[in-house]
Amino acid sequence: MFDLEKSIGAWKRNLRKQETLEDGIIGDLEAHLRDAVDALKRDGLPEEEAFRQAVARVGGAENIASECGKVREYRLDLRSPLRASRFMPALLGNYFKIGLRKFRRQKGYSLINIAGLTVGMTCVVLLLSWIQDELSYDKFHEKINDIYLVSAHIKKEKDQLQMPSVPGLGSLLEELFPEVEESARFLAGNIPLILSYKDRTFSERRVFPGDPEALEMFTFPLTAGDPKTALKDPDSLVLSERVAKKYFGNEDPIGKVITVDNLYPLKVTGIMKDIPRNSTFRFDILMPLEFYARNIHKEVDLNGFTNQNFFVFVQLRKGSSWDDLNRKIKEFVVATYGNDDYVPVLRPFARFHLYRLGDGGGSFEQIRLVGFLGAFILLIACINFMNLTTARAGNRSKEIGVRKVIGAFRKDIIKQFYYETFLFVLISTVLAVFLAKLCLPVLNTLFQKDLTLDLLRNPPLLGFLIGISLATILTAGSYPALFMSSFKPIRMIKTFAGSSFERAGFRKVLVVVQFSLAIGLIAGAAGVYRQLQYVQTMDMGYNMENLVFFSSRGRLLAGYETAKSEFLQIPGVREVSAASAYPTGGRSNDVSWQWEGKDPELKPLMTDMSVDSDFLEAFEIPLVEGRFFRKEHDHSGNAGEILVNERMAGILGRQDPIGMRLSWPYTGRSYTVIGVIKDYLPNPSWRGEEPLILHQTPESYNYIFLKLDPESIPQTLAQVQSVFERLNPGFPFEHQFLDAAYESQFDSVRRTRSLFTYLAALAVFISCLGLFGLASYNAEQKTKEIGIRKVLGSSVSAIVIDLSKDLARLVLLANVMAWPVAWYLLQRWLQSFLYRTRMRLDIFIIAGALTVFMALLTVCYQFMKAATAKPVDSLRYE
Amino acid sequence: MISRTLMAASTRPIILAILSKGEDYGYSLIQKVKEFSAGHIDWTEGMIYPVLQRMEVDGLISSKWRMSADERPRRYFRITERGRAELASEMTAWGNVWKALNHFAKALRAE
Repeated sequence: MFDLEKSIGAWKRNLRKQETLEDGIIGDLEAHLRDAVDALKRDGLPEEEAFRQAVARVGGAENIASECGKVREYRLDLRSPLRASRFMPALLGNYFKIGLRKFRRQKGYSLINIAGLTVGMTCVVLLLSWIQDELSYDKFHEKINDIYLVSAHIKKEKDQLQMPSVPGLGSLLEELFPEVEESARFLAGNIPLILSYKDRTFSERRVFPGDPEALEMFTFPLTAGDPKTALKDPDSLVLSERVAKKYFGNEDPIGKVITVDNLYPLKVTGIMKDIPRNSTFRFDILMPLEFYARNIHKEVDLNGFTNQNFFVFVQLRKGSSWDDLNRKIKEFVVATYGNDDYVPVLRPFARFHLYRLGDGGGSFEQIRLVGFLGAFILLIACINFMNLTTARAGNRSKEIGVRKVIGAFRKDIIKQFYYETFLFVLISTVLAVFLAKLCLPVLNTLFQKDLTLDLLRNPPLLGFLIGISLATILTAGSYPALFMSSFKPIRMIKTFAGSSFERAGFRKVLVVVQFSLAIGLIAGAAGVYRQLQYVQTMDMGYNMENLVFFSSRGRLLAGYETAKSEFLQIPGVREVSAASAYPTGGRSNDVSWQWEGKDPELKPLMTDMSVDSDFLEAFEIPLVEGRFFRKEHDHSGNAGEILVNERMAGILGRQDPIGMRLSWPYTGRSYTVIGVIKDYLPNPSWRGEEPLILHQTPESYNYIFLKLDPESIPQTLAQVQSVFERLNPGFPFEHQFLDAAYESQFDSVRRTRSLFTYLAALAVFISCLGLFGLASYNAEQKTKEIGIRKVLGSSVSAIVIDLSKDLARLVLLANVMAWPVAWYLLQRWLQSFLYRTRMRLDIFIIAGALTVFMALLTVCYQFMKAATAKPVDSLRYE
Repeated sequence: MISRTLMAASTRPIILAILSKGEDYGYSLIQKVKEFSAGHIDWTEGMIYPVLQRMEVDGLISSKWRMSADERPRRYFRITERGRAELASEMTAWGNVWKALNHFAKALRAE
């Protein structure tokens, strides 16, 4: 029996099989079918036949369905794509919550990330404040942009030689060029003076002789006295507040008289504020240059044109260009003398500190180095972050999948991950600021700085820090964000398996980069250490051990012969000698010595030194030819005799220089060469052994040297002191050991070394921290594998070796990459030293071995833990 | 016999023309077409529904489900303003085609 309803039901079911036929259209078709059946029935057909014909009229389901499919596609094409609003504040809360949950659930990784970033940021904060301090040098001078240092360019043979300023230049330029408004000089004499007021006597080291104009040109504000007149009277003195307090307590110092070196009364005419630490020139006492040249250092020629350790400054009128002036000066020199052998050159005082205009190589190099190192450390921390985040991507895949299905675009996922990175960096930065504050005292001692970290009162530093934090977010967050957001949702939800997100290739690259940086830093530290070691122990051509020296000021100079014999009577004193300078110290760069047959083009810079007859014995410098000064003529000063070193002998150009006569036009005296001594190197930072002339002028024995018996130095020194105080009353016994004075010249290299050492240690630490995270992730991934291996009979050591092989290979690869680069950079650094250690492979082997060792130590712990776990636990863990 | 292409091209104007007289539903539309074309236009009846759907997507007609007098739910279609404009332009086009054909037809008959 035919049942219409049943047949229509079956027909509808058939329609429903077509995917594109929606309920609405099936309803339409059903109503249509029923109408048709009714109509056919009305025409007299039996129900079954009517149904059959009506179905035929409506047509095949496939055809209708395919037409409907076309309409649906058409409709989908028309639909405007869904656009999420650009910023959804509600999501921020969600991101924060998820971030926090992930943080809590993966404490270990999060702490590693935070620790790495914090250490990196701490470095950056400290280095930034250090750099800021370096850049702030001298900027407190109001006229700094109008002040220029004058120095002389001298053509020496073929090279250009730059010399510090010579004293006569300032006033000469002021006379010749209207652009120059004012000139002022400082003398960089570091000779301590004895100052006394009533019963208070102190030895003052920070004494600067200067022109009266200096007080107006530079900003050393006076709290009492008039800067215009303070130093006009050559017998006046300006003290810093600190020193004034020392001598006068609560008395008013102005107008009081201070005695200098127990001989010269000077009136206090001004009190200046203590000079801040970030000043190139730091002194407590400013005295008139005129007084100093007249009484203390009588050889100083205030109008001369040879180097006497002066700093000559000129102040240009507003609006005049120093470049133009430099050109004019050169034109003037060429027009006047027909050559440019000796040209004064102006250089901005604003660059003085950074470029150490005086002697080349300033802190600019160091700032650059520090900047690079800071960036390296931060980069290593960022790499940790990237590695750990992407390694853990598997854990996040479901979340990302669901977010995408719900409607998040790739953009939103990227935003989410940046936001998470932002949270990490924010926490790290805040921690870093606190940590930096804790570390600051250490840094201050290490670099002899006075840094403070007050971010709120230091907007540039704060701004920089924010900038660097943003850069860190971009660096550390970009790879995870782009990587994680690229996953296809279907894959992420369907197949969650860590292995499908392995894509470890890039992570390996990052580990290699990280370790290359660390190895480079270690090699750098080792290289700097080597060089320091080398220059400290190199053979300088003289023996400075157990040599103590002190100034001869006071009555020692006049009574030198007596003093010498008294000192020699002390049992521990082996030799006594005197000289105008100490061998490690300055040179005088004189070009004016003349001799017969001298090539007029030849203008070698020569240093001369006045020494007594025991000089060679005290310093253990060998005599090559001829004889030395005769002892018995010491008191008369072996007049008319000189010795030269081998270098000078070479310049003199005669096979046997003995007997040659040299003259010095300034005094008009002439001298006979009586001997040749072996070259010695005053200082490894110099260009080499320089031509040297030794003469004997007892008035200029500025220093007395005692060679002591190493057995009994303390007792001997005590006796020397008592003799000194008896012979030279009123002068404190201030002695220095020559080797210590020599070593102090390497402070800057030593600081570079400690900087490298600390930063290299940090780099290794952060890299290992990251490796630790990666290793524990790897071990976790392989829990099952390890379990199965153990069940099958593998030993713990075999498993650990197998697991470590991969990481060891990466670290070795890092070595291969780092060595050539580090080699090249170290070589370049060493080029800046004339006397440099040879680079040997062992530095690199040490750096490499150290990193491999540290890396293996780090991963072994994790792998041991995994390998010693009971297989039953690891196999059951799912 | 009307070709498939001509049938396809004429469907929309015919539906619009019928709906311009008042709202209607699928079965009734088919019946009216048959009636007015004296059975010459004979669509596969189910195929009208995708066409109606498409016309709705294009905004020429709108639809609403309603119980009709005989207690059967039907979807009633109604022409929209856009549909009317479309109908007018279609009519002009068809009129032009018809005029041209008529002209040639006269010429043919005259031969």
